[in-house]
Amino acid sequence: MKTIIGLEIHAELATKTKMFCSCKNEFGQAPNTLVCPTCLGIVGTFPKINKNALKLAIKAGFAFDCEIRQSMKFDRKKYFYPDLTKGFQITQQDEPFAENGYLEIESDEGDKKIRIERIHVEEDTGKSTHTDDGKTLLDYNRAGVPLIEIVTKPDISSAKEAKTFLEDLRQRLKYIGSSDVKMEEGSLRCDVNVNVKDEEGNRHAIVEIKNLNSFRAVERAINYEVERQSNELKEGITSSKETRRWDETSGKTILMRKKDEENDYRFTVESDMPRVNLSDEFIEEIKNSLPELPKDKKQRYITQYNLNEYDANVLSREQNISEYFENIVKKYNYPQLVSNWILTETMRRIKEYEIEITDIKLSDDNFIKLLDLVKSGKISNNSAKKIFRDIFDSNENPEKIMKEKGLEQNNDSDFLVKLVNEVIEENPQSVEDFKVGKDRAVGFLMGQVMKKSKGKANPQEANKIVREELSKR
Amino acid sequence: MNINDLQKKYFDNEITVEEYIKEVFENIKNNNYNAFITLNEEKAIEKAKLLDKKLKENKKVDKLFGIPIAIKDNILTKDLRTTAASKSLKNFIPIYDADVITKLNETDAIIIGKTNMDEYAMGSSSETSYFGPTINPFNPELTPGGSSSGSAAAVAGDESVLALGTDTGGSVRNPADFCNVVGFAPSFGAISRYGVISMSNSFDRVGIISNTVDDALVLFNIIKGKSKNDFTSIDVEEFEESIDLKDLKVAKVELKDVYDVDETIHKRFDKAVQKLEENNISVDTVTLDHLEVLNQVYTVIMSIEAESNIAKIDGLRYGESVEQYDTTEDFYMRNRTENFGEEVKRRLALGNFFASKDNNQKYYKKSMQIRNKLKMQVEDILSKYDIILTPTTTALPKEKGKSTEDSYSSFDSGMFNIITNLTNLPSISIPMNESEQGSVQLTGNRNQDMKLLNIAKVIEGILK
Repeated sequence: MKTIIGLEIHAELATKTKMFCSCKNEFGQAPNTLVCPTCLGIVGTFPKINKNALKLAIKAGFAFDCEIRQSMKFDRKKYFYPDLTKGFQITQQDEPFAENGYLEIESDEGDKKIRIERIHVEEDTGKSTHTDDGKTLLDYNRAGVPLIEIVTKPDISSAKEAKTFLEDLRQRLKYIGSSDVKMEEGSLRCDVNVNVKDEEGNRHAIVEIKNLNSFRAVERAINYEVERQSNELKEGITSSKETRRWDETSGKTILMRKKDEENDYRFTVESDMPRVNLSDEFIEEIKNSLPELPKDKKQRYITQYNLNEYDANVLSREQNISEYFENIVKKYNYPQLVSNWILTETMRRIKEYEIEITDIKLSDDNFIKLLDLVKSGKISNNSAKKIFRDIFDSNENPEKIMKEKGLEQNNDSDFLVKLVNEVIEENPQSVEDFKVGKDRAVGFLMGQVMKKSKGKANPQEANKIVREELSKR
Repeated sequence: MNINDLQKKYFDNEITVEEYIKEVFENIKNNNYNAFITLNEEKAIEKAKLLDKKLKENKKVDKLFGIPIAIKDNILTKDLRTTAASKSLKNFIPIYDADVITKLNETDAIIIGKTNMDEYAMGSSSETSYFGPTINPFNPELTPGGSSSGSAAAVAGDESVLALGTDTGGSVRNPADFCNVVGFAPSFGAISRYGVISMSNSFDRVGIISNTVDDALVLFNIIKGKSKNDFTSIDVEEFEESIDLKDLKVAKVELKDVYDVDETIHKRFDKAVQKLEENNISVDTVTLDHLEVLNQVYTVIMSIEAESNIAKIDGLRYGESVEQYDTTEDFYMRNRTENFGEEVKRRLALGNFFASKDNNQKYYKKSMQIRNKLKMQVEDILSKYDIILTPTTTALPKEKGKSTEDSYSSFDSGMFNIITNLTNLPSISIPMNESEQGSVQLTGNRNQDMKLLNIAKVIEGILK
């Protein structure tokens, strides 16, 4: 059984004002305080375009490697609903501002490109709240807030991939500053189109799932739907296109309507707004304002820092992590060492504590001090890991911990020569073995040396001295 | 009465502004033309008093000093009821002023009231008005035309000197013609539409009705221009030259039989052309294609646009709404069924049909194509001629009460009106004769409204 998933994501643009009027675009204000005749749909009003909204939208277009349309029109999508003030929504029907992009995600089969079919700009609707006594309250603060709708190709093949895609998309939109992407505030919303196909090529009809309020809900709804559709397919039930609603409490999708009962939106041109023609300079300016994208960053890490591809990939994927990494490297220019520690010890802690890298207590300075103790051979890697665990929570000076716990590695050659000779004396057989060419005698003696020094002997130094002292015998 | 004559009376102390404005309100009450839906009497007289004081104190006055102006009731006036002659807005008090009203309020003009019209400007007889039909002062037995019937009747019946109307498919020029006054529909966007209730928003324009071309020019100069509230608004070209009759090039559209031109109109039009030629104006005959389908093209685009523009009138946030309903859908259905008249409903149904995806919107697409072709053809003519000359309407006004029998026929006789709305061009209707009904329509090049008005002034002089 194969699963075919496409997503439609609505993201509110992080503008100061609404898309077609100068009302503020803010979340959480008292109902119906951010409104004017235009967004309330009073007769006689016309849309004025918010240039900054277009900028943020196009920025998103570039961030997903889309082709950008320089001349665009807007359309009216007509339907009646109380949260819609004009009887139509202004959107872009056949001329989306961005097309043919993609976002690369990490999947079980390795890196995978999820193609983005189109991105268009539109206005948000107001918000209906249904009360227990059967009333509906309307708040038009959100009416006219700028949105982008991102539509993917059906390239996603599991709930897990869908979740990864959404997480990466969210990260990217936040990183470029186009959207606040807060699902809990509704500034990011997602609809899912999903169907399954069996080995003989029989397909279940496409089902659209709405009312998904979290990434977890997306994942659960897809898993539920895949199972439901697979069973239908196995039982030979004929299916038709339909829209279903995710019900969080029961953990089920519930039929809303069959597709043939759907609205005819009767799209026509919005002629109150002339065609928008974007100048080359405008487009160029947006392109230049775009922060470095992960794929470019990865390449730079490989060339500039000589990192291996795996490390460069992981470090560049998330904004917070790459910023943290670059900050440390700026002060302590040993990129591979820094990378090794971040990708193992730091990441492990963050995952365990379920925190963001920006929230860690350990200061850059103390982290760097610890790295330098390793680098200069003052402590062994294992001791350093022990210290890291302590200072990650306490942000204490790693040298202090090292001394307190007596983890300092011993480099004193007099001490080491004495120690090595003691060990050799105690193991005469090893001398014989070494003389007949059995190299493993060195390993055995090294083990004894480390044991006797309680791990404080510098292994490299000790190894050298063991060989020297053996040769003298 | 025109601006100059009235202001002369004020300045010569023959009459005070207050006296004249009171006289205007007397006329309105005595005439019973039903030209107004709502009067602005109290505020108008208050302003008149202020103006008299201003004049007495020798303060600077402006070009509209003491001039009464009537406003079509689809133009929003803050705190003054605006109904669009619809039951659905019969109690609607706007919270903001249209751009044109804001501009007028800064002048010494006096707003008399809100004029009667066809409901939501849909119709050309005033018979679709929720407030009853307007009487034609020029001939009370005949329809006053429409949709700006009240504005034309107010000017023709001495109930105002100036009036604002709106013109979507002839709604200023048609009633001006039928009431035998001047009607000017400028280039699309020349006057901001902000605060004007949209009918068909790619055709709509605010227009002027007056007794003389000069009066229209004075008012146009004050209310024209780009506005930040209307993205489609523009600044038209200035025109400083004087008109030399010898250099004037006029293109007269051939009146073929297929267009069904009334014989009387035809004769009067030929006579007007003859007068122009006698004054050394060269008049060439040109032909226009697509005239026979213009009505259909216009109907398709107009009804589609009107349907979406009127969609916001759902009774939820403002406007009339029912008390009893079952579901949300039922709420919409009842509000719109009970509060819209037949003609509005007919156009909404048409618009829905033409925009539906079932026929792949083929009528809409085809209509847009023909609109573009027509634009190119008319632009081509206007690259060689200064104006295009036609009769304003190709039929005589019907007897009152007969207009709603066939709502299509008025489009047919208004095909020369429709052309300019389809092509965004400025156009003016001037009576051919003071004593008998019938007007010529002059159409100018896009954004050359000032040139058109100056030519119209000359031609007006010749026809008189």
